[in-house]
Amino acid sequence: MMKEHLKNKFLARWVNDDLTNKEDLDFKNSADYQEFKKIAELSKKLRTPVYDKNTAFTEILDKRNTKPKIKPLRSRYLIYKIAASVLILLGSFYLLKPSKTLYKSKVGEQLVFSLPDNSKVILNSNSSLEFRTKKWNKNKEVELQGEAFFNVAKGSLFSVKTDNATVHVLGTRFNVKSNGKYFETQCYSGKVKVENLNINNQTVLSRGNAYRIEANSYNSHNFKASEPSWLQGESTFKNAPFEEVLIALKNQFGLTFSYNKEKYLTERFTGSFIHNDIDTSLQMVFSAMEIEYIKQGKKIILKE
Amino acid sequence: MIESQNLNKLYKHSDVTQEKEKSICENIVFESLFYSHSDDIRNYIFYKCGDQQLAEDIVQETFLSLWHQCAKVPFKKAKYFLFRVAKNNFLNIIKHKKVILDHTKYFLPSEITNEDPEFIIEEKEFMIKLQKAILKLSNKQREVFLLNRIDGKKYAEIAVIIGISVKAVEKRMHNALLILRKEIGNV
Repeated sequence: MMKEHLKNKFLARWVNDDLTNKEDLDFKNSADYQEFKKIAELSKKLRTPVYDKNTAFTEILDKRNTKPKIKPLRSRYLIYKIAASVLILLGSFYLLKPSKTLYKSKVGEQLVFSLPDNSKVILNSNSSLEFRTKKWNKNKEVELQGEAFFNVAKGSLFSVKTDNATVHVLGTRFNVKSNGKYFETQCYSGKVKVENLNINNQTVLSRGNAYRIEANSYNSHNFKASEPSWLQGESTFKNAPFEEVLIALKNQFGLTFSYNKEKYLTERFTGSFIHNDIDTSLQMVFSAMEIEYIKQGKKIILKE
Repeated sequence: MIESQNLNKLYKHSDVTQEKEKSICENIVFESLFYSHSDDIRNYIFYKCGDQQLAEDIVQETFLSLWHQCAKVPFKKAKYFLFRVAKNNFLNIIKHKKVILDHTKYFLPSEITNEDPEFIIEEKEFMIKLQKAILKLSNKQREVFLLNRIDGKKYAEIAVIIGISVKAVEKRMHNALLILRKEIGNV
């Protein structure tokens, strides 16, 4: 026979005072009643460890105003990520930054410096020369805009790249000038090889040879000087396009010119100007060409 | 006509006097919620893991998440929000950390104020038996039994806290009592 109080939910109802009177009486007369009563009563006296609410609440107030933190696991990786990025960044700066060296001269200024192989370079005014320091041995190349004189160290080989031509060093001393479409090189000693990029033509120049590219044509001529005149404070031209003379004046004195380009397109100039006196230089150039001009500060207006 | 006007007035009046719902974001409201529920939540989690420190950490975490979501949680639902979040926090920790459940440190000796020394000794012995027997309960039974006995929670409230039906609570309670009786008898 199944005891009533062992059935489904009976004890739960009893402990909750939900029994009917009859059920209650029957249960009280059962053998187990005293044990169950003890369990029910004494279990009420059990206590959990004391909970210090005030301290707990103070802690919550402290933390309440700080936003939920990123999980520490993740933030630790984040630090590694940032550290790695910084290292890579620094590394790439280290690799990239010193690999190229640029020399740039201002208007009216000349720069003298050495290449990694101890070749001496003199940069004329308003020109720039760039080369790779790191890979010099692999890639012996300098890039030139403007005009420079090279005095190459013995036994050294390198190339000077310009827009129109590349000059390969075979000997020791040479001058290179490159302004946009105009290119000119003079060999003062030893030999250089000029590679004309426009027409894929190579010419070897010896001492006293010059090579010139203007517009789409090129020509060679000879000269007698032992070094470029601009090293001595004078710019010399031999049958040079008029515009090249104006560019040289611009580079030397920072002048601007206002003139009818078409009229002077075919004009040529042979002669020179000095670097230490603007007015004398202008007279030297323009009186020789029978051109009248007005000087307004740094601006020169050529009359037609 | 007059009646309907009166009704309107009444309606308006009741509208005006209707209290604005309390916002949990107000400090006083938040504080009162903490003082009225924190120990229940702490005990609830404590019954699950038997680790006082863990239970109290979870209470802190739970109230912090209530604070951070105070604008979203209606005041009336705050209590059940708290119990649900506490339970989820507990389950997450169990999942990730593998907390070792140690049910031997559940209780402090209760203060027994009875003059009869013999009775005291008998009662103490019984209490020890009872505590050992409670460890034999399943987690589900223990939770229900202790919430009812120690915290005095009604079955309906336990049902909502745990998220089961009242019938299921009663069943667990009944079985808990049966097992305790059996265990104590064996000792």
